[in-house]
Amino acid sequence: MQLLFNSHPFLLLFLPAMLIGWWVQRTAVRQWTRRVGMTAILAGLFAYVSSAVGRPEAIALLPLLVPALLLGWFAAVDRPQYRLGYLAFMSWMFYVLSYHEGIYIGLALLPLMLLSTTVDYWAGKAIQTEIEAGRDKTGRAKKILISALVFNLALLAVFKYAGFFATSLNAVFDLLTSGGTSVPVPDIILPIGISFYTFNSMSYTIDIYREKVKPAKGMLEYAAFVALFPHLIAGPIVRYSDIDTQLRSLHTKLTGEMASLGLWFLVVGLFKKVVIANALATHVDRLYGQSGDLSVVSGWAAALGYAMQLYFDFSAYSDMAVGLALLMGLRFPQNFNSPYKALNPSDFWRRWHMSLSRWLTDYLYITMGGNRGSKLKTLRNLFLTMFIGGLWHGAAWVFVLWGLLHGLGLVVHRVASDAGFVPPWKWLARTMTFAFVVILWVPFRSGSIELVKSGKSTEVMNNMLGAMFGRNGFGLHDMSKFDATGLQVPLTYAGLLAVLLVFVNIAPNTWEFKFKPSRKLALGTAVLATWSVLMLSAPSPFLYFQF
Amino acid sequence: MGTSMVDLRALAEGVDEAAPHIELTAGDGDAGSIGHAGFLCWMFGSLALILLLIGSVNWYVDATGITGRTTKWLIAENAEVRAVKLDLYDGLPQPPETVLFGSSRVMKFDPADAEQLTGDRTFNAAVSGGVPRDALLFTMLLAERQSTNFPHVVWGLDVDAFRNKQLRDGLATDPRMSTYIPRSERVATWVSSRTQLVDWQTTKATWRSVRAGGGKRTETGTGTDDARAERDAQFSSEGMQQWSLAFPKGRFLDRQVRKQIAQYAGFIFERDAYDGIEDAPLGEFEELVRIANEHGDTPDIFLTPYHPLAEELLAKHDIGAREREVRAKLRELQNDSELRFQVVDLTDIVTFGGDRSEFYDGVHMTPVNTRRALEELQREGGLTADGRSGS
Repeated sequence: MQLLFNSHPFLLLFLPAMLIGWWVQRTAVRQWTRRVGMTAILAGLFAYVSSAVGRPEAIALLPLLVPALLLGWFAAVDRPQYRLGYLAFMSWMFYVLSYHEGIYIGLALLPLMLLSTTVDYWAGKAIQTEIEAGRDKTGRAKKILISALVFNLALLAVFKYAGFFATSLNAVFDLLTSGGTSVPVPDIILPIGISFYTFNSMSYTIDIYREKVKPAKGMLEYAAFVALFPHLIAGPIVRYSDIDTQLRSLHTKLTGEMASLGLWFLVVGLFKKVVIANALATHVDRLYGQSGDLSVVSGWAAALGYAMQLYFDFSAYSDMAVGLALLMGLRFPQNFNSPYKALNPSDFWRRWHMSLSRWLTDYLYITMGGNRGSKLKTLRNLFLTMFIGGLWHGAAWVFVLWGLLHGLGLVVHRVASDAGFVPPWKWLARTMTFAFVVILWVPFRSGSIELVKSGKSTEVMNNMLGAMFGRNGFGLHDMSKFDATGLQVPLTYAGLLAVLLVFVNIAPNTWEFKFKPSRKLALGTAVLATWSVLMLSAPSPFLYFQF
Repeated sequence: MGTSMVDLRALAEGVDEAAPHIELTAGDGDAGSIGHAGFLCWMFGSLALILLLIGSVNWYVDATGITGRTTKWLIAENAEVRAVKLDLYDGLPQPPETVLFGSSRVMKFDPADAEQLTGDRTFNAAVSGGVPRDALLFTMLLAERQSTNFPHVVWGLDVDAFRNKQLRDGLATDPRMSTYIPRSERVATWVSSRTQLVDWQTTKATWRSVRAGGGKRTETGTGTDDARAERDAQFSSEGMQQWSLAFPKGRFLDRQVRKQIAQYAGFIFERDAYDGIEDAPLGEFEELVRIANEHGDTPDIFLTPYHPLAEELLAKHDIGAREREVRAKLRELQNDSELRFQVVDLTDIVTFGGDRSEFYDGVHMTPVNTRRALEELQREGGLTADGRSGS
């Protein structure tokens, strides 16, 4: 069992327990309502886990469940620390239950996140102490900062990249020594969300060092920030500076605005994921599974399908994260801004995964010098930033290639636009950018965990690109009825792609939508919600979980 | 929230100035606006109403046999077969000496053939979609009803049997079975089946059934609607599924194999994400064998075969790895545990002289092949209860 946003136990058990424990307070009657309601639902969650995966696993969850219950029991508007504690423990429980490999694995890997939280919290305090003491920041404060950053990068290096480094080293040894030397390749479970929470934590210490933000008032506040379940698993990368004042002055009442807008984001995100992205996934997986037999038509159908799937999957998660945060009275920054409407690669990165782009810009690109040096240095900085961006997405050379090619795209765009070479028409600029992005999603998709583990990433990538550019023929016959051999492009799939291509190019995104609380919108939202509920039966993890 | 949603953007430093932001209308002052509280009421109210409507229709029609309320609108083939098998068992003039377990692949094994080979009264208790849990529940029933004359268990085990699968509510609510199911699990199953009432597959099945005007339809196979209706599950008094139409042959069979295996792969490897033996069904297997051993029986397990074309098509799902894993696990249990059971591997039709034309899809054999399989089991000592081990 895996507690995903798009699953019954999350929507019917975890979320109601969270919201009841968070909001229902004030009067004495409501206090008891909250306590009883929260206890009953958490008991239901315990029973569900017990029946889904077994009694021992459910019991193993008690060290998180019981403190959450107790803290929720005693939480009150004048005791924000208890509320933050409740939030932290519930978020940790969510984290543990998110592991497909099981609760024990989640419990084993939770301490890693707690360790990162602890190290960065104390590093932040120590840096602030140095600053307040008026000492030179380039001395001890810098050393503490570097130590904290190295620690987080070491976590990533070990848990995310160790296998990749070892495999790559062995490939080099194979070339040099014909297989005479090799290093053992560790098989380490990738901790969910490690790329996100380490980046969150690193931004915290860096921002304190840069005096952009003050440290968290207490460990509990910082722990709640890091573990905040709406964004813990797959972003957006919310910086402490985005949310510090909100955590210090928590809303005491769930207003109609927060609730309606939060639910609207949640429902729209859910619909995008379970109805659109999952429908595409079936066909995309099938086509990618037969990458060696695809033609131009089916190859592009696969590539476009994945482009749409990834967009709707990832923007769905971001929408749901924003919605869940709003339901708790917290505001997250925007993470998607119609990226397929981008006019050039630079514009694309201002629209796609905006929180990651901002992070890379602020902490890498600008640190390396940004565009303050020579033109050549600017281009180098762009290129290197995208190299790291690619590597961040996954421990595989296909991701490095993807990042480097995007870097190259940024460089080419910068040089071309400086020289005055820009497409004369907007539609041409959009088409070129979209085609560039779609083609580059091919190596990205080839870096899925299953393909990397089976060693077939490069083969699939080559097959796909070869098919898309005519190696296996054009394949007009592909546009016919689906059959059991799975090679053909069903007309329904082609139709869905066509509709979505138009949609992503002309429709407003979730953040642009003029939300007006009317009956029509309420009914429309109910229809989307109904459709989503009907499709909930086969939960599937969000694609960005693997990062 | 006091401030408008413009503040959302202001919090996101570095975002392009032109990036859009959500605008909130004030609510009451705007034409058509019902306010945020009104929005929530309308939204939740509409959602509840629509889901209640869908759930009620699905409950009433019960096209896939979730609640067991009625069989009139059943659209899934053999959805009620569990209750039918219990009824047939209850109706036997004498308790069986051999009981066949398994999924729909074993439903066409003729008890009369087994009786002819062994002389033992045989009952076919295989059910559609049968998994270890089904066999265990029936075994518990046998242990109670035939505690002094426990039958010999012969179990056609599918390679994909060891995956977690929701217990069908129809079986859990049958009073003959519910006593063997822990209350907590009955409750969990009841809750889960209610969520299935607002599920896309269930709703689609309801729509198909209502559009067809009710009555039984089958989901796979060739022939007209009338022919399919005629071919609905009919059982002999000993539990064998009877068949009134010609089985597909030649290229029709090949086509049927491809179509059925595509659906099969969708269920097993995508919907159920089967990628290895899971603990719960394995535990149920062990429990069944334990109960049989306690009653003096050494069960005979045979691994059910695939059509050769089906094996080729399933290669991309690494069916070979699943087969090897199941064989290895069974060997491990035989060698390292106290459980006593025999295993005969019939996954390759060559082992029992099976004919690739005597299938009617990728996994289901005609009575010609099932007879040959029984004969092979008999040669291997797998049909009798005398404890002779197979080769």
